Amino acid sequence: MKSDDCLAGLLADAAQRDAFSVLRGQAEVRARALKFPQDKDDDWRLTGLAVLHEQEYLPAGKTTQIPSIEGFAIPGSCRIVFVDGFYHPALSDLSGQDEIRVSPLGREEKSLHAHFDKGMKDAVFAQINARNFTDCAWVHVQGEIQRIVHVLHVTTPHQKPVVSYGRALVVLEANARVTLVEEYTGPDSPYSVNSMTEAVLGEGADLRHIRVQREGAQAVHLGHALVTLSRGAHYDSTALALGGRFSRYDQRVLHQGEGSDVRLDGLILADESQVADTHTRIEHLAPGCRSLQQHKCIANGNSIAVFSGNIVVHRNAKGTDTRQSSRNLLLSSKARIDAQPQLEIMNDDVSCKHGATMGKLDAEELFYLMSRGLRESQARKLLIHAFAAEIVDRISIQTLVRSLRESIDGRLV
Amino acid sequence: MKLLEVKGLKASVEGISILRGVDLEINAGEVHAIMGLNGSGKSTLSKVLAGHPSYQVTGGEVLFNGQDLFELPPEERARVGLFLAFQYPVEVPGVSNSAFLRLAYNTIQTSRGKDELDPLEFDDLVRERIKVVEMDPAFLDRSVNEGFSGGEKKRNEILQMALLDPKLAILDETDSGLDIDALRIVANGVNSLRSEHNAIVMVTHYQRLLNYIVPDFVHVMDAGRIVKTGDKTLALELEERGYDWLRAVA
Ligand SMILES: Nc1ncnc2c1ncn2[C@@H]1O[C@H](COP(=O)(O)OP(=O)(O)OP(=O)(O)O)[C@@H](O)[C@H]1O
Ligand SMILES: [Mg+2]
Repeated sequence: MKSDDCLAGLLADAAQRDAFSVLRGQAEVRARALKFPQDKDDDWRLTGLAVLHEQEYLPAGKTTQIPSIEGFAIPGSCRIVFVDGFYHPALSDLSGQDEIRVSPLGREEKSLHAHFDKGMKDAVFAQINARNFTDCAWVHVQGEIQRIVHVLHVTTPHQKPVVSYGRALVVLEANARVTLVEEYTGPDSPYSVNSMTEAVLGEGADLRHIRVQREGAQAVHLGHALVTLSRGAHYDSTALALGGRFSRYDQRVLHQGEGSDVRLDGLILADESQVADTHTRIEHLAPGCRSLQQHKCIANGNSIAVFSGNIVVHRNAKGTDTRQSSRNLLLSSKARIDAQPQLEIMNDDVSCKHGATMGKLDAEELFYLMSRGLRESQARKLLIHAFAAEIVDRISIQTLVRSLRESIDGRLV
Repeated sequence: MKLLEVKGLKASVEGISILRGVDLEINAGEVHAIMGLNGSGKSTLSKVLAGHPSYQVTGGEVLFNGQDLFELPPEERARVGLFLAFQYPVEVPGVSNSAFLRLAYNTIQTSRGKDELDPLEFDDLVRERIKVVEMDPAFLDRSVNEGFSGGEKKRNEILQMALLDPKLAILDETDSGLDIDALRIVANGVNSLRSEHNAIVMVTHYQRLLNYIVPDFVHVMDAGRIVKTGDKTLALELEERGYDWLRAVA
C-alpha cells in the first residue's frame, strides 16, 4: 500500500458521534496535515515503516467473544478490560471505585476535555488514536487509590487483521497517588494496536506506571504516553516491550512544575525477526527537576532493538539534574541494537550525566556457571534474567514479576 | 584407584604455549599440593582441566576415571565429579547466590540420577552445609560473589564444593586472601569433606595451609611442567630454599 492509502484507510472509519466528536474532528485535520511518515523521517529511520504497508487492517468491531484473561489477573487490583478496543464490563472489576470510569463519556465528564489530547500533536499515530479511539479508561484520583489499577487490552483472533485503539486518561489531583498497570496481549495472528495514555499529575501527585507489552508474535503495536508533572509531582515508570512483530513506544514526559521528579525504566527484549523501538523524550520546562532514566535492550536472533532517549533542558530549567543510562546486550551477531542518547541543553546550570554500553554475555561468567554443572543454555538464561532483573525487579507486584519472568523465559528458548 | 591421569599435557592461550608437557597422576583418597612461581602455569592447568574455552589443548591426554576428559564440555566435567575452586571467583551480578547454588546442585543431582530439591528443602540443606565454612547465611541472598571480600569469595567456593560433592576438587589458591582464623575454618571444612572416594589438589604458595590439610604429594611447577615431586617435606624445603635450586636443575 502507498502511504496516502495507509492514511486514508486509517481515517476511513465512520465518524464517531459522541461527546468527543469535535475533538475527533480536530485530530483528523491534524493527522491529514501531518501525512503518513516516511522511512527517511528522522523519527522512523532506525526501523523503517515497511511493515505498516504490508497489511490492511480493518477497524475492529465489538466482538461477542469472551477472551480468557486467566494468567493476567493481579490479585486485589481493580481491573479495566478492553477487548479489541471496547470496554468489557463482564471481565472488568471496578467495584467500589468511583474514581474510575470508562467512556464513551457522558456530559458530566466534559470537564475532562481540558486534559484530553494535550500533546503529541506532531505524532500522526497519536492523532489517529484521538480520531478513532473507541473507549477510554479514565482514572480521576483525589487522595489515594490503594488498589492497583490494571488496564488490560486484549485483542481477539480475527479472520482478517484488525486495528484496535486503546486509550486512557489519568488525572491525579494534588497529592493524589495511584499505581497503574497497562498491559497488552493478543493472539499470534496478525493485528494492530494503537494506544495512547495521557497522565496529568497535580502538585505533589505520585504516579507509578507499569507498562507491559506482550502482544502476539505477528502484531504491530504503536503505543504512546504523554505525562505532565506539576510542581513537586513524582512519576515512576517501567515499560517493558516483549512481544509483537513490530512495536514502537513513544513516551513523552513534561516537567512543567518546579521540583518534579521522574524515574523512567525501560526494557526491550527482541528475538527472531522482531523489531522493537522505544522513543522517549523528557522535557525539562521548569527549574529544579530531576530525571533518572535507565534503559536496556536485549536482542537475539536477527531482531532489531532501538532506543532513542531524548532529554531537552529548556532555557529557564535551571538546576536540572538528569541521568540517563542505556545498557545493551547483543546475543547474536545477526541482531542489531541502536541506542541513541540525545541531549539538548539550553542553559548552563544543569547536571547531565549519561552513559551507554553495548556488550555480549560475559564469557568468564558463563564459564563459571558451566563449571558448576549448568548447561550453556541454562547459564545464558540465568545471565539474561540477571540483566533484565534490574528493570523487572523494580516492579513490586509479585504475581506480575513472576509472570514476566515466565514470558522472558518463553522468549529465550 | 586412578582418578586423574594427565599425560604430556600441552596447552596454549592465544597462540602462546603455557603448559609444556604436564604429567600427573592422582588416586582416590589422596591429597596433592601444587606449588610454583607466579606464572608457572598452575591456574592454567586447573582451568584446562575444568574446560575453560580460552585455552587450547595442543598435546597430551587426560583421563578422568578412565574417560577422556577433553571429550566432555565443562558442565559434563562438573557432572562427572570435577570441581575447580577458582583462584579468582567470578562475580555474577543479578544472579542470587541461593538460586545459583540450587540450580547447580539440582543439575548435578539429576545427572547422578537423584531427586531434585525444591527451594524449601534446598534451603535446609544449604543452611546445614554452610556451617562447613562458617559462612553467614545472609550471603545466600546476595548476588553470586558480588561485592564479596576476597575471603568471602573463597568460602563461597568451598560451600559449592560441599554441596556438589565432587570426586576431584582442585582448590586454586583457596588459602590466599583468607585471614588466619578463616584459613583454619576453611581447611577444617575441606578436611571434613575428604574421603577415600575423593581426592583434592591444592594449588598454594604457602606451607601454612599444608599444616592443616596434609598432602600426600607435593609437586613443583615451573615453566609449564611439573619439575619435581616429593612428599610433604618438599614444601618445607621450598619454604626454606625458595625455587631457584629447582630451576637450575630443570
Ligand atoms: N588469557 C591469557 N592471555 C595471555 N597470557 C596468559 C593468559 N592466561 C595465562 N597466561 C599466562 O600464562 C602464564 C601462566 O599463568 P597462570 O595463571 O597459569 O600462572 P600461575 O602459576 O597460576 O600463577 P600465580 O601463582 O600467580 O597464580 C602466565 O605467564 C600468564 O601471564
Ligand atoms: Mg594462579
